[in-house]
Amino acid sequence: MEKVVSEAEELPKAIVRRVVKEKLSECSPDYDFNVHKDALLAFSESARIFIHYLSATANNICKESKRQTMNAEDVFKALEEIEFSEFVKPLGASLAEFKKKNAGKKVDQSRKMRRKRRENRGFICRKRNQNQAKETG
Amino acid sequence: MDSCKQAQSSPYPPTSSVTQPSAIAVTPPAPFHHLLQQQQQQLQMFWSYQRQEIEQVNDFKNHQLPLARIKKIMKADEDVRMISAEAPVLFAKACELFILELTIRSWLHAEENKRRTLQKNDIAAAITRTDIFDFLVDIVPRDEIKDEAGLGGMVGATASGVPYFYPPMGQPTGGPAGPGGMMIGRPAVDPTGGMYAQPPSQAWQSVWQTAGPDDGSYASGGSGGHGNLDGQG
Repeated sequence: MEKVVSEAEELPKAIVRRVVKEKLSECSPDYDFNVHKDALLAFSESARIFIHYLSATANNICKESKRQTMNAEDVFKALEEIEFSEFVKPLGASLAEFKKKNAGKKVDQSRKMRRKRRENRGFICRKRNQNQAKETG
Repeated sequence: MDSCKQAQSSPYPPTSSVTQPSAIAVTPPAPFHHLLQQQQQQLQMFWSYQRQEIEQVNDFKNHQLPLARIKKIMKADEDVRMISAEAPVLFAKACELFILELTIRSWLHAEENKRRTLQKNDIAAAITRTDIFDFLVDIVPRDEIKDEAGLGGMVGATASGVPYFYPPMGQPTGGPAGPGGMMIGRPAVDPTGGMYAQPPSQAWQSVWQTAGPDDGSYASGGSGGHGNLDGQG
């Protein structure tokens, strides 16, 4: 099996495999579809190139807007440009979910940090008092 | 009376036939039992809550592809500098959707050829048949795109009898314009570096080599009807 010459990062085979097989069992619920090893590699490689393709397109759009950081809007526009506009809707939903989850997390984390700080302060005060008591005592 | 006393000392209601006020025999163990029950209930609640939590996380994690890996792949392109936190999330999902699309189309080809194993040439066929997959035109080497039905002519295009995306070209076979990129009409091969200053992978580079005279039909086929994305400006 030939390896890609560059040390390019690859997508995890197991996950690619799962996505493909789940779809195949949808397409063919009555019988088991198999995936040849080479085919799996081709899937992985195609997906990787897709990332590059979309990424470069989005990057260009970003630069055109005189910005440095590629954002969600750039990616959506890029999808339209490379004619994958049917992806836009499901991606939007995915993003909304992600934001929801992360909003919750951020609040919790800051709460935890505040609580931790309060506790630490209390602890330090107590320690200080103890030490003072020892010294004077 | 004696038996009563003995009964009281044992932790559980005795099996002797002597009847005794159950209250006396049971009173010491009652709180203990009750505590156990409470504990069990609490444990059950705890675990069902944990399970819910896990399920929720899984629902979200079903976009599955690791964000860090995706970010690394993106960053392999030196032109890409800063990426917002949301971008890899979008890319992960887009990648998944893309794989699904490719799977369906490859599956179609396998079905047409009455196979139950997806092979590389199925993917190759899907790529050849689908316009928007033109950017993948060189992932799979040409010899994979053989038509099993044995029909000659335009490789891939006529396999299913539907002349998908090949508009009448001036020279349908042979005599390609050369590796100038227009035959394989993707900005990616634009020598003035329209989109890709540095092809991020080997696949792009080998595109130059494959536009040989032999590949006339394939190459011209691959450009599809949407040769021009140069207007991305």
